[in-house]
Amino acid sequence: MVLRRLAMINIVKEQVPAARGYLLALDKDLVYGRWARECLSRLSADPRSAGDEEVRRIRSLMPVKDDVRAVSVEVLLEQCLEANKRNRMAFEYLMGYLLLNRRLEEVVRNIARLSDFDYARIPRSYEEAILIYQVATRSQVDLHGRSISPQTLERFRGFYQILNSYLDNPAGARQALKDYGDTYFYYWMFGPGGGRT
Amino acid sequence: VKTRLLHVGLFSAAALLAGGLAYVLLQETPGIGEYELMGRSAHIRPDYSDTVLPPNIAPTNFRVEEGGTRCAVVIRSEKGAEVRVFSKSGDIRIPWKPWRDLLEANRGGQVVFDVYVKGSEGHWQRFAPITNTVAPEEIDPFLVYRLIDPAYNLFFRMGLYERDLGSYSESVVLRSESTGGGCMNCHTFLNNSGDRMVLHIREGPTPYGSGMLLMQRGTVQKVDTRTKFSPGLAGFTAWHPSGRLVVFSLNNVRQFFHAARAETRDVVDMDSDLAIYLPVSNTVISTSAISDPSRLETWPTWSPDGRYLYFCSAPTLWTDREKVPPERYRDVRYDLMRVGYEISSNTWGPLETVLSAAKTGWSITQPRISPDGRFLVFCMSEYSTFPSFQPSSDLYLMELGSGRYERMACNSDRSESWHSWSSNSRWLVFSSKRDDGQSIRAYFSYIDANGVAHKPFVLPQEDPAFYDSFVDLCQLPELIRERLPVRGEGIAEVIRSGKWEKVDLAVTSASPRTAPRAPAPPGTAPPGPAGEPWQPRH
Repeated sequence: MVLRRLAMINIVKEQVPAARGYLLALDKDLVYGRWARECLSRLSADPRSAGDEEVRRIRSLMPVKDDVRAVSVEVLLEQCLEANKRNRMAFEYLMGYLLLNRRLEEVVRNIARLSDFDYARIPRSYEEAILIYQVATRSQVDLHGRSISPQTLERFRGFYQILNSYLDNPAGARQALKDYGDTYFYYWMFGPGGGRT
Repeated sequence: VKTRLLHVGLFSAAALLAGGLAYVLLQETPGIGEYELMGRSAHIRPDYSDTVLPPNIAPTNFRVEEGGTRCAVVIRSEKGAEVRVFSKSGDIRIPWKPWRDLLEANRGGQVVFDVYVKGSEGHWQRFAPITNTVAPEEIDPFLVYRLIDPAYNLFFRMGLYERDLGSYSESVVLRSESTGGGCMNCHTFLNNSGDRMVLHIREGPTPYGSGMLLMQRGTVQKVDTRTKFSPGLAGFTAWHPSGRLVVFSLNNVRQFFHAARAETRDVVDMDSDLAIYLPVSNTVISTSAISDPSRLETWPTWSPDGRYLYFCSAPTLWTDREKVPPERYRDVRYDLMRVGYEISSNTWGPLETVLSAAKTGWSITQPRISPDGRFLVFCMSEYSTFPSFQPSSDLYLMELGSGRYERMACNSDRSESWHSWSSNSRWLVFSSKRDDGQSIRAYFSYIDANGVAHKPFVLPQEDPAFYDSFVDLCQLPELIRERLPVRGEGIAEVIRSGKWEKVDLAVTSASPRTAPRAPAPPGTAPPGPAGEPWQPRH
């Protein structure tokens, strides 16, 4: 698997001799041998792999500006987005990373990037994070022409109401809110490191 | 041009008897007969052409890359019997005994490869001769190197190996599997002798501990050089030629990554110093000249007469030692320094700048002096302490008598580093990434009496196609004169058992960063024998 990755990385970076070495090392591999031989054949015909759709796709998403900031998920994803602002996978990983780490201010700041993609609406978990942020900071988030869906607003009101009735009973609140277990509200309250409002 | 030559009916049998089993056509005796003279040499891989070979090197097997259905190579020289090899695949596996006899008989002369290829239409072609020179001087017969998987963060196998350069025999010195999955690095020998060796161990998933292995005359000792004065583990190491002390670096090395360049890895020493370990007294000493708080000292090496410690040193350009990489990491350029040392009295001389980065504009690292004391080979790269990660790194040779230096002719446009001299000062082995920018392979270059480096050649392998699919990194090639007396379980068992011996806390001089910068008191080093044995060999 590691050799396969190294081969692919070098194909994408047009480091053909290095790629060829990894592919030849995989040549006899039971699992990846066939793939390696196919790649070698393609490399012989098209050393730049210009006709390989998957290679072209990856190249379009690669960072082009050198950066030596220490490796972190966030930095790497930001680099990918700097290279190609329409890299949806990088954007969603970044938002997921920020949500998991409860960094709502940055979640809210990145809402502007939604316009770089073809989202029909704000994804539900982002909406839920925005609502928490607005309540926590008593501020209004600029949604850049988008709006929070009525369903999310309704769900938030329901969640908030139940939560308020169990202010002195966190265990009870958790039990009472179990129907909201698939929401970011629930994660925010009861997920790892939760309990904030 | 059509010429008549070469009848091959007889030599197949001779080649087979000599052990050249590879496609020697005993019965087919194809009879080359007429052939067409080509106006160029055949493409062979690895490139064993126009180079200088040691007389004691294994056959330089290669692959002829000219297509065709048959291939014949005649290896001839002024003296001795020709060696003839046939191949259908183009793989030329040269029989060992005739090859060695030919080289031995032609020391100082030339050895020529005549390559014939039979095309698909049935006609033979003869290519222009490929000529190599046989050096008069042998190379040290053994090479010790580390092999590691290519991914920087995922190594499942790491091992130290000893290769017999006269054959293809490779034997294990130590593998990570037998040491709890730990890392081993910076194997260092005393005067090209396998009898004294230092090897550093970093513990892996099974915690057998970290420290320095000191191997002397078949015994293995575990030393933990860390003290409250020198908290880091020992890094780059060099034996004093007397064998009575070793100098080592303490590197706070941090790795970081480039988002978009061919070599993505990079490292920086946030801080570094040098210190000296005295095996006899089990103590560590240092002095301000090699542990200046405002500078980064590293890459120590001794002059062959033991009177100078050479090392590299750069000003520390940052105060925040936690921010990685520091803002000015690209401005770090090391000077080549030396400081006098008198071992009998343990006194230090003045600190001198041998070659400054201000003068060269580049960073100087990894100095190594030829055993005859005439030449110093070092790396220079645009910046950095670690040339292996710098594609710009090249080898330079300085004539120590005059201080003149120049870029060596054995360089490529990729990184060259980790060089080691043979004990007779005529051979240099080094790590090169020239083949594909990533694979690290051992290359050898003949250094003549004038300090001129000749075209290098890659470590020969039995399989001519070996390097096509060999992706392990061959690091730190070091030449030694005799086999290592202890290896395998003899080392691993020591690592796995017992405690690491702490160095004496009654350290004579403090450590680099926290203690007074006083030199070690005279007499700390043990007295040497009469007639110092580490005088340069001319």
